[in-house]
Amino acid sequence: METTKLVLKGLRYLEAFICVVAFSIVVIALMSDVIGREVFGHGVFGAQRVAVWATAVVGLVGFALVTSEAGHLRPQFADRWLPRAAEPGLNRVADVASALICVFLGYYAVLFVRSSFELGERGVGIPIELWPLQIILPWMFLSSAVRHLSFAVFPALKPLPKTEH
Amino acid sequence: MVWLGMLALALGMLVLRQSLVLVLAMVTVYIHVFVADGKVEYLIQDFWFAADREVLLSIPLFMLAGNVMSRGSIARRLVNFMHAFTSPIPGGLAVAAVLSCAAFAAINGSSIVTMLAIGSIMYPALTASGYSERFAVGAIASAGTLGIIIPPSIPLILYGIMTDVNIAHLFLAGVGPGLLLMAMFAGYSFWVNRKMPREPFSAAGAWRATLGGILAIALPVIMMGGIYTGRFSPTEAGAVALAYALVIEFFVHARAETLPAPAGTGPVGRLKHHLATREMDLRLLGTVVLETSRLLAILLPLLCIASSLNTILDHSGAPKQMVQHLIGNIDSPWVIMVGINLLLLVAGCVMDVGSAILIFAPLLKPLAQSIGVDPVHFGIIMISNLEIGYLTPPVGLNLIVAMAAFKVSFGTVIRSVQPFIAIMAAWLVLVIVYPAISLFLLR
Amino acid sequence: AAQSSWRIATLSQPGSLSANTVDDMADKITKGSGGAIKAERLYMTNEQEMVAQLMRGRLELGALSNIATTVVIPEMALLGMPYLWQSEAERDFVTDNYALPVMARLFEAKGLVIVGLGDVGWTNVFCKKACLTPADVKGMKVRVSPSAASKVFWGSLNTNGVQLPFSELIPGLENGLVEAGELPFTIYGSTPATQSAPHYVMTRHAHLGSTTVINKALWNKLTPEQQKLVVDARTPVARVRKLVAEDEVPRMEAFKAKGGFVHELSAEQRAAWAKLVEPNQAKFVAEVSGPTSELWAALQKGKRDFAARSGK
Ligand code: NA
Ligand code: NA
Repeated sequence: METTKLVLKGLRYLEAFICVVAFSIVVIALMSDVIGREVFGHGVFGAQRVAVWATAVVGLVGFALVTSEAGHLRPQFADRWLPRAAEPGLNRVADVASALICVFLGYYAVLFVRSSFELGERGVGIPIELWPLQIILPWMFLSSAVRHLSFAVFPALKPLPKTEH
Repeated sequence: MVWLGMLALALGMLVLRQSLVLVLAMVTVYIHVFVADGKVEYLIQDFWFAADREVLLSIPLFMLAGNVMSRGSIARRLVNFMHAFTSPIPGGLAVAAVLSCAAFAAINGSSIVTMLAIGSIMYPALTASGYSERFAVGAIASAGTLGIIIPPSIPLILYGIMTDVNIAHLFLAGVGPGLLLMAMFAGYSFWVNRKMPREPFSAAGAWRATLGGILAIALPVIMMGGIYTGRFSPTEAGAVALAYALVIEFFVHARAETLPAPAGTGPVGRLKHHLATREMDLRLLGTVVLETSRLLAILLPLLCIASSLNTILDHSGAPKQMVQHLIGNIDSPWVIMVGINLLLLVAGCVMDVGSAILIFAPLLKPLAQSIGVDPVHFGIIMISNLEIGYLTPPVGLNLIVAMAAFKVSFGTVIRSVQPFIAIMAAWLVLVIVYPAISLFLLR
Repeated sequence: AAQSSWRIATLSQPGSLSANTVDDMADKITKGSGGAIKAERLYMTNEQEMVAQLMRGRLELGALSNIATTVVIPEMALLGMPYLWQSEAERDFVTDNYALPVMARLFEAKGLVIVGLGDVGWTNVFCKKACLTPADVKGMKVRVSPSAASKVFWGSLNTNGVQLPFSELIPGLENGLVEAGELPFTIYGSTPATQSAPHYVMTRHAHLGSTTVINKALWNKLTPEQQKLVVDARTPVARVRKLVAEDEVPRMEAFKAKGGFVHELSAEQRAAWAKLVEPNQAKFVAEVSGPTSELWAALQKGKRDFAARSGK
């Protein structure tokens, strides 16, 4: 359990780091375009594209970060339908189910990235291949699956939900 | 049978305590595979193309700018300023919130951005000043929709492009209905809050609040000026607002409890002391960025799923068939008008405004013209209908964003906007029945 | 047998000439198949998404601009290179006889079969004032579209490029964020840019072509009769080019009647623009395709053969 805890913590730091860096890129890219254009008479070609991609990284890698904090919105009205006694076991079943769903979606995300790699899909305006960037799609689901699985095995590792409704 | 299966899937997942985003994702997968005859992979494709759009850029920027402003002191200073002038009126701050949304609507073309930019400042201000959470969320989520009726407006531009109607005329036609709705919202806000305590006006206090808030008050002016003089685009205005907020929170605004630098400190020491006593530092900024990332990470996947559902609808051709059915079976102009409005209201419930316009504008405009409705007026009718859709579940973007940004439950948000939806329904009838409200500036 | 439904995706606005030719194609396929296929036009706004869905068989057919196809076939940008063509005759001769066979192979490798070529028209400059010389646009804030060709064109003219998505072009023009841009008249003429930037300058600096494509897996499943039906349903490219040219005349007249200006350039005036851009063509080719591109070789050979032919 200690090892798992350490791994999860490392993963969370990594994802938080990626989000902060990507968010900074969004701001720096757009600001340098505006300042370049208005002050130096020369904007930065492709700045908006870079900002769009960095936004996608924040929003999708952030998905896994939010999973690690049990921060996703969860409708609670159905909680009353099952007896309270089932609760502790049910929470673990819920995490197993979430893990399975994330693995399922992650598997198709891998297929999507593979087809993008095979077809050689590129960006508009900035003609780099997109598949390395698209890895965030399998990442968001598979990294979330790891979290849910860990929570199912070691319920003590699961933080208190932040935004349950 | 297929739909029963979908319901069973959704309920089963809810009993199993799955998060909203996973429930919606699996329901969408189900629709792709069993209704639309597609593949699971299509959901993932749509995820990518939904995230890979320039139109989304302003969302994280205004979110972050708003968070910087509320974690720093801009929001507080703006509130002080507003409060100083509106406190003598009962419900004054609520009225000010509606008016601020309208003012901000005049510098950007989106509903969500308007709601976030004003809401991130006004929501904490309203709740801190004793207004109910429910009223505050409702007022801001609803007044945010002014963003697409008061020009400039991205949906009006889309309508103009799709139907070959002059966009400049559409913008002018949006002014009247936009101001009318603003007045109705403001009137309601005054009326429900008329029992709120009022305070005497203090000229000295107002002066102090103005001085303390001057840099914050300048921000809308800078943004409006920058956009209208062509310095930057509305999307880039988000980046400018953020940079401006960072500069004044890092280098200008001092924390409330700040002591002056000890006597005899050298220039370098004084600079260090100056920086150390400002509202914002790198550590706090990191926290704010991470906080905003979390919001975006809750919102973006939901937007991606909504976009996937829209793509399914687009590809199915169902909207086109509905319109043809409408034309084929009815001949009274008023019945057709009511039918069009019901169709648009339903569309507003399940689709985002952009897709609804792309699909319905070219189909409905000729129909409206055939019963004698001016195409510019019809554009306004269409946008007014879809504007209500921002506040209706299941796909009500202002609801979803308000829930994430203001950290309130979905149920609270839905209840909070109900009186405002009623006002908008009355407003919609006025806009339809009196074309002059839209067209007076064009005559 | 169950009816299969096909979508022909297009970026063209309903009511425009190219949307009408797509409708026409859909009608011919539906009628010609005797009810086995029901084809319909599908309006889309994101061309990159359209390409992705066509390759993966989520869409059956589509009319793709050459800019869109660059996201999977980068060298397709070559056909839109500024000042590639000396004349319409050269352009049509080389495109149809030299480029098309190579394009067919490049497209097939990406799971797309070319059904026919299309035409959007010459790309020209539009401007808030009468921008007749490169000096008129030097340092000016212009809208650069997200393509290598747009970048090299405006970069060579030393403008202050502003990258804007199409949806922000119109408000950008109205606010003065940009003062000029480039679009074929078929697109420009149907936007409010005609009011905020009413000077249309016939630089004819680049050409925007298009292809109608069908998903390869679907194509391979069709009977020879069905394949013929699909190819015949598409308006032949020579006819499309004629329609585009004919359609432009009344549209330009209407544009002028509403206060717009159409500026024709003399040969010397056009050369003054070309002189600044041409030195950067080699760099452009290196960037989008590399010097060994098969398509580039075909274009060069076609241009030589055309020169030899017309020299006789
Ligand atoms: Na607006
Ligand atoms: Na809705």
